[in-house]
Amino acid sequence: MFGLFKRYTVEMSPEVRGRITDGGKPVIGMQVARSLVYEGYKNGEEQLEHTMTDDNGEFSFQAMIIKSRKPGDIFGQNIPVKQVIYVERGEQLSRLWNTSKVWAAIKPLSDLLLQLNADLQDKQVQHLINTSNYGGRAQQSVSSICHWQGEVISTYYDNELISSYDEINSSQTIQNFKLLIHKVRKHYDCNITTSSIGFGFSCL
Amino acid sequence: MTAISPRVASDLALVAYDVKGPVAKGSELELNPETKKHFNFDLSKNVHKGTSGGFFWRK
Repeated sequence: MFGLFKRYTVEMSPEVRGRITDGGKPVIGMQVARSLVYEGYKNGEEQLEHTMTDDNGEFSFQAMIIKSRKPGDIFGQNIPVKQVIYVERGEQLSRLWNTSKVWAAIKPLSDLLLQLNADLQDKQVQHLINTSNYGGRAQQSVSSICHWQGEVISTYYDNELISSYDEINSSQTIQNFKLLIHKVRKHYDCNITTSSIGFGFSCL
Repeated sequence: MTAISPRVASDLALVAYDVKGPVAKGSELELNPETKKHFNFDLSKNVHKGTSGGFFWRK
């Protein structure tokens, strides 16, 4: 009963550090946004902060720790903290971090937030992180263009498990190849059949 | 009617908390890949409806 009046320490976000590159080159002076939402803080109002990347493409945000009674509420104990860190370039929005986590600090997630090193050319993937040994979920989902690897991380692209980031790059090559075939077919009015082991060519 | 797995069921139960209240810019629903294979969620206009291939709502 007294848990109802207890104020809990809620981690809206641990300290964040990262670096943004584009094709390997640091992106200087880019605005990075961190959006945090927790129903137990200011009625769920979005806490939005911005920072800029420095001459080396690096950026950081301070930790945001608050006090809330929500975790002691019988209807509030499962209310998640929603964290999004993103950059925008023109119409394109790239997520460095997108997750919904429990209100307590989860070490593997805090560790990853100190290494938000992303290349804007990289594709967004979904990481399922096993945080069960740290008080979190067995499959904590984080979507990001950061390509991490680790024992507790399983990475998915287009809902399929990948064992190496090369698989994504090669799938891009295949997509480019299919696009080329389509253009050739359209241009020459030819019929080209493709398969995983080769392709056939016949003009109409 | 096709049964859904316990993993998908718990994922759907959990995601209900994520769509409570307005969705912030840049925010995406974090669903298990298995769930995403069977359900599409449209968060535009703050409408939260999961569309499956044959369980809750048909496409």
